[in-house]
Amino acid sequence: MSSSASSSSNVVGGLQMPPASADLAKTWEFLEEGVDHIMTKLQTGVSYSKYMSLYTVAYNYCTSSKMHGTSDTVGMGNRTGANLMGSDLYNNLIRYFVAHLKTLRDHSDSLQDEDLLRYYGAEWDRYTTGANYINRLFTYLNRHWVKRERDEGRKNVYPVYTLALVQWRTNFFQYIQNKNTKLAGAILRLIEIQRNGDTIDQGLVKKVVDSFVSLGLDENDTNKACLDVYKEFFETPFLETTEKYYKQESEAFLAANSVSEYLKKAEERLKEEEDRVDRYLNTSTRKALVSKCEHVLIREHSDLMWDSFQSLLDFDKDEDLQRMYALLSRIPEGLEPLRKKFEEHVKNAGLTAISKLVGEGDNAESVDPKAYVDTLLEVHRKNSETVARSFRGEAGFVASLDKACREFVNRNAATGNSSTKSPELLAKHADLLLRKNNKMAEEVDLEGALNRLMVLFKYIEDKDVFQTFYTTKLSKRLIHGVSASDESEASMISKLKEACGFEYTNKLQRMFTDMSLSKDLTDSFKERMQQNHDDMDISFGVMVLGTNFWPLNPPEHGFIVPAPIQPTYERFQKYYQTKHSGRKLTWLWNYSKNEMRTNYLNQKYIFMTSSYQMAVLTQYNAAMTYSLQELEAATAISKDILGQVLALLVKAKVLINEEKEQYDLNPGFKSKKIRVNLNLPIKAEVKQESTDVLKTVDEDRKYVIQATIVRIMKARKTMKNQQLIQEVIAQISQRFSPKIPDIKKAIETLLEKDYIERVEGTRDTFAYVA
Amino acid sequence: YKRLEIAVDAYFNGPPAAATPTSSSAPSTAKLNTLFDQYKDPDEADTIKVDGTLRWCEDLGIEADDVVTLALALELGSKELGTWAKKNWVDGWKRLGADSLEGMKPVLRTLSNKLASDADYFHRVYNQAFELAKAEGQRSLTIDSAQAFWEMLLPFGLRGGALSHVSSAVDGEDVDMDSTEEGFQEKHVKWWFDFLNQRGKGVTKDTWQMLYEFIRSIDSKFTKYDMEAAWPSTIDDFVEYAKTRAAQ
Repeated sequence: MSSSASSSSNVVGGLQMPPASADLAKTWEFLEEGVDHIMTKLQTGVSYSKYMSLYTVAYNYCTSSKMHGTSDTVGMGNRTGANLMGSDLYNNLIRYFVAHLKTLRDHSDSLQDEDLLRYYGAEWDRYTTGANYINRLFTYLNRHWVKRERDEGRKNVYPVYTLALVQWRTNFFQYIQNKNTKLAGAILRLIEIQRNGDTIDQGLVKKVVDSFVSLGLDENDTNKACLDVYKEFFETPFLETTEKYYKQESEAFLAANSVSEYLKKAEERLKEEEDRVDRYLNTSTRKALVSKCEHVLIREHSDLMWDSFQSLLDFDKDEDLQRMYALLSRIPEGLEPLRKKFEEHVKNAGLTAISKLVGEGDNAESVDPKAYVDTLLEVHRKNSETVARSFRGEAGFVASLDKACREFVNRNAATGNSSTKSPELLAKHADLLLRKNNKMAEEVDLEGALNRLMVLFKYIEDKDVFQTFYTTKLSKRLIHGVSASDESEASMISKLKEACGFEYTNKLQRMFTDMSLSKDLTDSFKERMQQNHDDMDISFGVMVLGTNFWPLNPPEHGFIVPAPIQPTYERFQKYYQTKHSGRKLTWLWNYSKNEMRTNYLNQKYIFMTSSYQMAVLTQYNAAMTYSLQELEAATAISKDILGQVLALLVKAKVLINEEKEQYDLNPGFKSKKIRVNLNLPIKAEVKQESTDVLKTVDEDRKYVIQATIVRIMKARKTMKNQQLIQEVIAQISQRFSPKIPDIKKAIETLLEKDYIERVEGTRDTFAYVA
Repeated sequence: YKRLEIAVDAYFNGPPAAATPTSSSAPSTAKLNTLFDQYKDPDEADTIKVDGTLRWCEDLGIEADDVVTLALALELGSKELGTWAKKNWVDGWKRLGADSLEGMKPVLRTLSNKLASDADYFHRVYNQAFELAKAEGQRSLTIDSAQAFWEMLLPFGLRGGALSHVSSAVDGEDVDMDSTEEGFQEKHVKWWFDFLNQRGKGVTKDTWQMLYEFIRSIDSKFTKYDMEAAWPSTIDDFVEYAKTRAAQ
């Protein structure tokens, strides 16, 4: 570069500013000196006036209309003067950049790795800063000549700044890269050093990586970012080395460490790599990098993770489970094997727990309802916590849990082959909870216990069995007045209603209605009797219960209403008939009870008795001794029940049975309590209860299946056997799981009754018979 | 008379075209009416009842429980066992082309052959037999009467080929022509009876009709049976029974 000192106002820097009419050589000589200054010594500063004169010279040259004979290096055809002016400057700029970059190139030859990156980074900064100024210097050229060239389709003409980058790329960047990808290799080595745990200059890496991004060029729109250089020269090799690095690392790590340790490691590594993107990579790399890491770190070792899942479950390794879940949830289908194993695990846990319970009791028949329910709940609680905590409540695991629970709640060591045992035990437990004097007297506990029971109820397949047992138990609670509270009863019913709908609890609610109507009826009857009669020394309460809603059967034998209650019996009968004419009253003596005062002993006792006992005892108002036969005749109670009634009275020492089939009143009866409860359940009744309930259920089911088939066939007209069976199962499974043989039997019954017929010429298609 | 015999032979041996007898050899309504009256019930002039049927069978030289009587019932529109309405009887015989006992005998032989070997014909006779076997007002058969009819029909159909096994190959499935799968056999008829007697319930129409399908499709080992298919549960239970018995 030449420099001649001058102090003229026209003189800037080393050269004198050429006049507007100066030719190319003169003009470029002046401009090149300025350009070089800016590109190489910007830190020494450029005065405003110098900058302005450079700008002016470039402007003047472009706007001069003279023809200058110049070469046509850019290869444009026949141009106007102004066009040629622009291309003159443009070509000279190219020449300058090429020369400038040659010097950088030469310098870089001896550099390696971090030194190379430092040099590259420093020069990049200087170069791009300079190029920015130069770009503005040639604003006029950019706005007019370059723009027109590009508009006319010459896309290899760029604005000056872009030109600088293109030149950098061709003459410097590619030159270094071509030597064994020296540049990208240097970055990758630094990254590896960092992965190995050492500190590196992340700013430097970022700068160089950013330059890769800047060097991308969209030929059509120079303002648009283009990542092709970044992707080709950096991202692709980066992903390859990443894969290699982690493949090697994960294998080596697993060879020396447990899966638990590996889970931690993999989690850390994945986080690190994501951070890496934030720190110094282009964000577009995130997806590819993450999926690459997931593949190498998770997918490649998923078999091993799946295999060790069970032992993590067995030892309640919550944190490890969480980690394994989080990792495997990142790869497609990664969780499915876990869900399956989890389901199996829960199922086994449930089965084992119940086996243990049954084993302790030594008898599947006598499983305690509370212990049974508590055991099932405990397995459910533990595993649902695992789902919430370790598997973030993910729907697939919830489904696995539900499936497993449905399995062991319905079929376990306590149920054997019976599908009705579990609903029975649950209903019994509900009964114990809702009875007076249960241990869970406190309101909060009771509500909580009912809620927990509903957790299990959800899993019960034969909800109709539960319903039947529950109804029976409820009727006992109500007629014996042993329900803990109306509020809790109502709460339980509303829970059942919520779970199964109105129809399911309809009967239960009707039972409560009957109870409250009965209370009113008793009161109004009492009132009426007080007005009309003055001999009311009997206090009388009655429950009038709808036959269709109460699972109660009248006695199979007759009953002679004992004389002392005869008037009350008749008065009520009459009173009721006038109130509700046409209704039939059936007296359920087998469920009735009485309190009797004794007058034949020194001490006055109150006997609490069943009506049968009362019928027997009132006989002794007339005589001291009766034979079995006489009592049978006087009461009309069947012999076997009467025998048991008497046995209880004898056992309580109210009667004496010294001679065969002869019963005497015991004049020496004594008791510590004034109120003596003689009304103990008769054995036959207790035992019969369960079988009765199951019989009812069976009958109901037959009817439900048939009704469902008719409904379906009526809607569909014709249907294949298989579809029909599927549809029936689908429609009924909310209440219970119908068995295929039962469905087939129902179909046969309907065939026989001509509700449906086989479609002629087919073996397996049925048609509705209208 | 000779001409009649020739005509009958032509009818049964010749191509279907010969089935329409020429007017000269057409069976005579008068002769058939006369023949019918020989067997008619003393109280109901238009009906042959069981007594008449027995005599008629004897004159025809067949047993009253010959399976061909079931084919005749179909041909002559008999709706009740051993009971024949005059109009149906006469019209039927005119269709069959015979107006004398001697003329009827070869017709019986032909019907018998057809019943033994023609599966569709057998099927029609079989289904109709349920109605004949059924007591009036009942929906199902007692085991005894069902068994009596099955004894007539099943061994006969099995021997003659009308009940021969149809391979259960599904459409599109390759049928292996070399493996001739064995089907329901005569000894299984006895098993079926043993099973029914042990079970002791009546036979519904559906079971009757489906048994035909079952016999034709089941293999002799009872392995190709789908418990969930639309079979009546009686047949489901029989398969269980037969499998156990086959294993012994």
